[in-house]
Amino acid sequence: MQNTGVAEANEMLKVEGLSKIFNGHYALENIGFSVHRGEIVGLIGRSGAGKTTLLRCLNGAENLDSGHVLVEGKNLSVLKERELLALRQRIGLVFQGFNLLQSRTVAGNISLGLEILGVPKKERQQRIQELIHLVGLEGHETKYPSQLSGGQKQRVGIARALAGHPALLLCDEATSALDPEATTSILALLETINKELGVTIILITHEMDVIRRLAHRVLVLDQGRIVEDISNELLNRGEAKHALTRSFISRENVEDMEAAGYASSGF
Amino acid sequence: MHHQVFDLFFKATLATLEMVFASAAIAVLFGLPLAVLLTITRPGGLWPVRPIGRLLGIVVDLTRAVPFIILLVVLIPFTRFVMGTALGTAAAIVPLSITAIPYFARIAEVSLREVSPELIDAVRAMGATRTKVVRSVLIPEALPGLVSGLTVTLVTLISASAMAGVVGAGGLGDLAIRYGYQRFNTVMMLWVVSILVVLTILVQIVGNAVSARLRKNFT
Repeated sequence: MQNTGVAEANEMLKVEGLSKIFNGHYALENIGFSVHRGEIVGLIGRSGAGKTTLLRCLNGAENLDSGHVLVEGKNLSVLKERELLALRQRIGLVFQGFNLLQSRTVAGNISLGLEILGVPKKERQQRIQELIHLVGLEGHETKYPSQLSGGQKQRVGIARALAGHPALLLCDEATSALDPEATTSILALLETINKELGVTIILITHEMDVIRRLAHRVLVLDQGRIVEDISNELLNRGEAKHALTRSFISRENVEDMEAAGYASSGF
Repeated sequence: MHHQVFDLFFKATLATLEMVFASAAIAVLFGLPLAVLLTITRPGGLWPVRPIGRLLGIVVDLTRAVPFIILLVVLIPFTRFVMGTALGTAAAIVPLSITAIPYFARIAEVSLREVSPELIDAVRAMGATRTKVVRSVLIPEALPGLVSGLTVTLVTLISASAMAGVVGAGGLGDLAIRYGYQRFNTVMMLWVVSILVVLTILVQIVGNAVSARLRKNFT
């Protein structure tokens, strides 16, 4: 019994029997998994597999047709609007398209995260500086998103997501719009955030490479179902059971070979 | 130009500016919230309450469908009720505002609708209230377009204010009708037209500059 108690205290997120139906079809069907504190979980699937829908379910943006989502032990489906807003503030969101305000500077965009949390104006300034330092954007405070590179924009997005000291960070294709170098630097940043701040991270992606470099565990989503739930270690030992998982790996290898060829040709 | 005539023009220009800017201010005050409501009540919007959106849309379109010259006359009792008189510059502000509110609302709505729904969704998902989204995302992100919309509204108001001269409002339109038209004073008429053209061009130049300045940081 005691063990169970400890396990639950360590549980950041628990999904049980989750189904979501769109137009009579299961977008998500009987999804169940749990994520413990400090873990980095990669969620991979082809486009249309239901990745983004699942992510939206995890922060209460979608009503579930069955099952439930527990974040830090709180069942999202039974929360009132106000409580849901408060809980969302414990969840940081990082987007593929950055979703920054064009009308605000780097500091202003990070401030938005704090404003949503209701942090008083006086305290915002210092927290903004901390966050800018954390994501390595010193000297860019007064720049507008239009003056930043993709990688820098994503750093702003990450800083904004971390504004409220979230326990959980949900990243929806956070590196998919970035070039390989920026991807590497963003993945390194996410790893630092996980290690130093203990933030639990769930990464949605269609790139196996991203998952292998960062995730501790991989969930493979196919046609609304989780078809594989495997640790990165086992994955690297080639112990994936499902054909789709193996196809993700082999496809990545093909890309690796192409990348190697590209590098040796002098670039 | 004779001193007294100059005085006449000066006062008329001031009266026109007063009518135009006062009604523009009222148009923004009421038109912007109206535009926000029209935008957020659309299907898939921030607050998709369709009946409210439809009702407001109908009211806006009906008001816009009435030609200004008719509105001017129809509104005389209402103007008298609000301002105590239906004559003069201050009274003209009533029909000018009534025509400018839905006009600005529809133009502003176009700018507000251009704000990325994905961005709005994202900020909502971050835990922001609807009010916060409107104040910090919707309006600031649409601001350059809103300024352009205000410029167009001002230009339209300048020409409408001249029309208000017909029902005894002061200003340049009044001057054109009483001297230019009724007394066949072509020179006066030409002067009025010239001043109106210059005012319009000035408003356009300033409006474009402000909008461009705001748009500078946008991609």
